[in-house]
Amino acid sequence: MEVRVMSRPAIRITALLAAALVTLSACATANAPSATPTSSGSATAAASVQPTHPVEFVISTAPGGGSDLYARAMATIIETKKFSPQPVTPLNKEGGSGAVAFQYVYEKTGDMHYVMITLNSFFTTIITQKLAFKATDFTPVANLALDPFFLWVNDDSPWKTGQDFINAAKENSLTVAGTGAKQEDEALFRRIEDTMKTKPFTYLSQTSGATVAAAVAGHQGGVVASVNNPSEGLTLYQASPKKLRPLCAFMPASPTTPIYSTLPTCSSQGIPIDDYFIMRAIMAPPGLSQAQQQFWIDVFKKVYDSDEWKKFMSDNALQPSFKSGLEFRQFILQYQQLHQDIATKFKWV
Amino acid sequence: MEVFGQLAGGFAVALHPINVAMLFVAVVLGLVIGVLPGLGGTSGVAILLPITVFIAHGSLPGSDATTAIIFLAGIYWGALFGGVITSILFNIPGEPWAVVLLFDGFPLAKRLGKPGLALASSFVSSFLGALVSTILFTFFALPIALKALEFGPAELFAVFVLSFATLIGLGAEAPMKSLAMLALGLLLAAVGFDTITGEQRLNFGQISLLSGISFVPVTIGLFGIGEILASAEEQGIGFVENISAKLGLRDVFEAVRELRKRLRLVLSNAIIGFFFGVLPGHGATAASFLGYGLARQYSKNKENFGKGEISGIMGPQAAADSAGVASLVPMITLGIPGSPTSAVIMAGLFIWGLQPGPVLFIQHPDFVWGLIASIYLGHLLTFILCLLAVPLLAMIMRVPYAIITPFIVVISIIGSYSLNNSMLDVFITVIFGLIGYWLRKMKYPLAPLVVALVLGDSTERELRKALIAGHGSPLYFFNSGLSTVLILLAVVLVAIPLIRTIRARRRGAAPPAAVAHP
Repeated sequence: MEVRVMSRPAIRITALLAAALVTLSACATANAPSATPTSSGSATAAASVQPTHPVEFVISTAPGGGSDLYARAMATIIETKKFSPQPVTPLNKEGGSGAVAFQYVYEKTGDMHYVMITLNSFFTTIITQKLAFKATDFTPVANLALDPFFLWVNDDSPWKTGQDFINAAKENSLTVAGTGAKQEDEALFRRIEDTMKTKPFTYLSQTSGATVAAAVAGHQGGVVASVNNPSEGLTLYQASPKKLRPLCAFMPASPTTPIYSTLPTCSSQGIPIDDYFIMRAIMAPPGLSQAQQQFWIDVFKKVYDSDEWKKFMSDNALQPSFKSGLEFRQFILQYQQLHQDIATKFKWV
Repeated sequence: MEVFGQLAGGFAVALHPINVAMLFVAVVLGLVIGVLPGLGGTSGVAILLPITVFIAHGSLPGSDATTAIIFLAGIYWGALFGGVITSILFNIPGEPWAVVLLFDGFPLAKRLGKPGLALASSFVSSFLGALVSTILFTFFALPIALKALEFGPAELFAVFVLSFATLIGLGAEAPMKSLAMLALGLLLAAVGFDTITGEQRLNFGQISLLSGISFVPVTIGLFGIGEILASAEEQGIGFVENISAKLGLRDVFEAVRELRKRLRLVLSNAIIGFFFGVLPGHGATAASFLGYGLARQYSKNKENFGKGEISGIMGPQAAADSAGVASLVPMITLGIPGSPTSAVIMAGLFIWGLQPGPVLFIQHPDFVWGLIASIYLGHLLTFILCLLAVPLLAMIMRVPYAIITPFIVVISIIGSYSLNNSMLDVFITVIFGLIGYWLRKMKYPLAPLVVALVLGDSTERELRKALIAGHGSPLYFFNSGLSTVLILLAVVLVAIPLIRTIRARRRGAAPPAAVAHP
């Protein structure tokens, strides 16, 4: 039954399908040789010190997250101010808490037409996923800001200070929320647990900073606290009725942003952690020449110095912190060690 | 009422010539972006984000941040409508929420030879859904967004179970085959990164598989390519060739008549879609599946589903468009985006120097109410454009399927590639094209697979979060009144068809004969 002589329309369809396949394979082969000039093109690009075709600005998170927002803000400044001779186009490569993006950029060795925005997952993911490369393999460009952590509770919470929270955490295992598993939010909670000798937190992993804040605001799953960044908690803090309230800031000094200027530091309330931030840093593929690295450092220094970025940082309560060159390298080594220690201590690997 | 005054003010802003002009440009762009598979509303909005900075800073005469958001949102509205066109005409989903229209949209267009009616049905229900949603947005945005905050893991899991429950009957002709497809879908959904423990899962060491198997390339393969392969062999499975498409609005009037018969379904799905859209992170796609399940559950002609039933187009489309509008509600009111597209629009707000949330309503009422008014205008504009295009689009279907087939293949491949600029997605499309062909031959239903693949990940995540929050006790699901009600509702929805079937069997009546395709 199944075997039958092809009727004319069937032959026509098959012929067309075949034609389609031929066209497709023609496209594929047409692409193949064009791949060679590109690689030789990057060989010539190795000689040139600025991009010769559009640049991909790789974002390791999904659209709408903090990292995505910052990258788009930077790309917009680069575009509007013409800081780069070629367009710099944001591209989301989410997945595996950054692993997909890191792998993608790692494979572009020596090609300056790729830059990537990174946060602390650049350390945690490379360590916990046992990726085939290290954070230090990439060409460091610059850090543009440090995003502090606050300790947030629901506005109806009985706790008034960081110490109240710690006392409660010593009594019971508190349910807390954070972005992702084995990432910066969990790292900070584990550090609190370790430093303050509290009971282990029950940690609920959420998909984004916004949903973490929502979980605290809505008591979702019994969540009582988070370590959201200032910008993530702001809307629910300003909501009427107020839904969230920061207890303290994990910073060496109170924030300068007007709305948070009265917020005490956590160390002043007996939680001695003031050295942990989310970096908002730019990395490039491994093996860029010094001149190429310098090109990107200059571009992002111009972004950092622009009024738009200054306003953006103050709007989002980011700590201005430009690091490049040796200073940035030392920062990377320090953060790599810090995350390695947490990963070992809490058996993340 | 105060709201009416504010809305009138909003219309005054939205009707400003520059705003109307940009809205028009945006919806046309959105329609085009929606039609191109792979290039979704989210990436469309993201690509155009830098341009909006110029708009927001007054580079165009009279433009400001309100013009910018009207522009970005307009793209979204266009994409909500446009995404369905390729689903219906070519069996390739243009947007994730248009996947469900493959079930009945394409059959109505091609097997029953009514592409104009299929398109018009989708557009009228989209419009009505969006209208209901926008009215709810206008009056109840803040209280509803605050209520949605209370949806924790237990409640969300219950909502997902509810969606699955309404879809249980899909492919009821062969329950075991449906079950197998459901399991395969859940298995595929499990591939990638386990966000609860941060471990790699079922990726065979492939880093690129860590983002999971996206359902868009899978559905493009299963439906688009699979259908072409099957029809090449079976000479078009009785497709109506040479559809007589007359230039005129006959199909539109017929669609309106059909809509009036289904007014209750469309309105209730629009309301459900609204609540779904408000829940952070779920949005239009999940709503469209729930909408389809409900349409089928309460239809007298269940056996027509999957063969070109109009309720199978109108039900999901009303829910999807309503959810799309609603996904802006938590973003504007609380800064929590309800969908990826609204997340990108929120990024726009930050870049223009605005802070979403209650402060926005107080400090920038023109912005908020201008946006709300533009949602009404944008949908009206998109609706009119789409209806005018129906006869032209239907004309495409007069071209014999054999001639457009190569184009469909090319569009499918480009679409899957452009989704993430990744060759992996192209391989997935081709592989699932072959699998789709084989499943068709074996008469396995495809819908349960797709639904499980789309909803599987979130369902699993919420289940596990609820169990962690409840320290391992399943009783946690009955901790809150809301989740108890939702879970019980889901159980009832599963039980009713089961009991009916068992009763029918007891009475000795044969279950509905397994209808085999000729």
